[in-house]
Amino acid sequence: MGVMRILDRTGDTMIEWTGAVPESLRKAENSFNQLIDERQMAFGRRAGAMIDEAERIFSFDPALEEILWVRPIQGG
Amino acid sequence: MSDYVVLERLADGRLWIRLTEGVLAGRAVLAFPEPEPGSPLSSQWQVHSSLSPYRRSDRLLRSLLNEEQEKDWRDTRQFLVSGAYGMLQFGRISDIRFWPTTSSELRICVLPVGPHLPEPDVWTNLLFALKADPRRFFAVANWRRPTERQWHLGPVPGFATGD
Repeated sequence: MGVMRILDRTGDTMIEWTGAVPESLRKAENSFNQLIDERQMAFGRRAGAMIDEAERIFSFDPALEEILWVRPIQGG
Repeated sequence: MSDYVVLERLADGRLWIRLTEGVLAGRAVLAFPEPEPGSPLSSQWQVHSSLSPYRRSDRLLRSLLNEEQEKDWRDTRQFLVSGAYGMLQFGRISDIRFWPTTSSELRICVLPVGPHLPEPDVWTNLLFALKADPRRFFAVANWRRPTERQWHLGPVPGFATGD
C-alpha cells in the first residue's frame, strides 16, 4: 500500500493505492502524471523518513510507501 | 484502500471511518464519494484527516525534520537549514534570514505558487524546493539587506544564472 500526499489548504489530500486493487494503481498513476503536467514536484520516501532520505522522482513507482507533492516556488 | 471500520454514514454520502491497518492505522478520516467526472483528480479516493489543517501540516513538517530542527520548531516555530549555500532560518514567512557562505546576512522572500497553504506546509514546500534545486531557490527569491526596508527582485546576489 502507498499514499500520495498533495499539499493544499486542508494540510494535504491523500490518495492511496494498493497492489490488491489494480484500479487504485491505475488511478494513482494517472494522478501522478496529471500533477507532473502541472509542474508540481514529487518526492518519494519511506513513511516517516526525514527529508534527507527523500528523493525526487519523475515517474510513478507503486513500490514507494509515500509520495509527497510540493509546488513550484516564486519570489514573494 | 486500507481496511477500515465505518464510524458514521453522513447524509451527503461521506463516511467517517477509522483505518485499522497500515501506516495510518487508528486515524479517523472522512472518505468522500466519487467526485464528478472531470473534476480535479476525479475518481480518486481522497481521504481527509480529522485533524485541523494546521495540525495536519505541522505533523507532516515535523516528520521531515531532524531531532534538533524538530525541537527548535516545537519550541520557537523556527528552525535552521544548512547546505553549501550557507544557512537559512525558516520560521518567518516572507522574511527568511539567510547567512550566505560568501557574504553577510540577507533576508529573502520565496513562496510556493498557488492558493493558501497552512504555514507548516509552506515550510515543507520550501524545504523540498530547496533540496531539489538550491540554485533555483535563490534565483527566484526576492531579497534585502537586514538594514534596508526595500526588497530587490531575485536572484539573490551570487546566485544568478551563470554565477
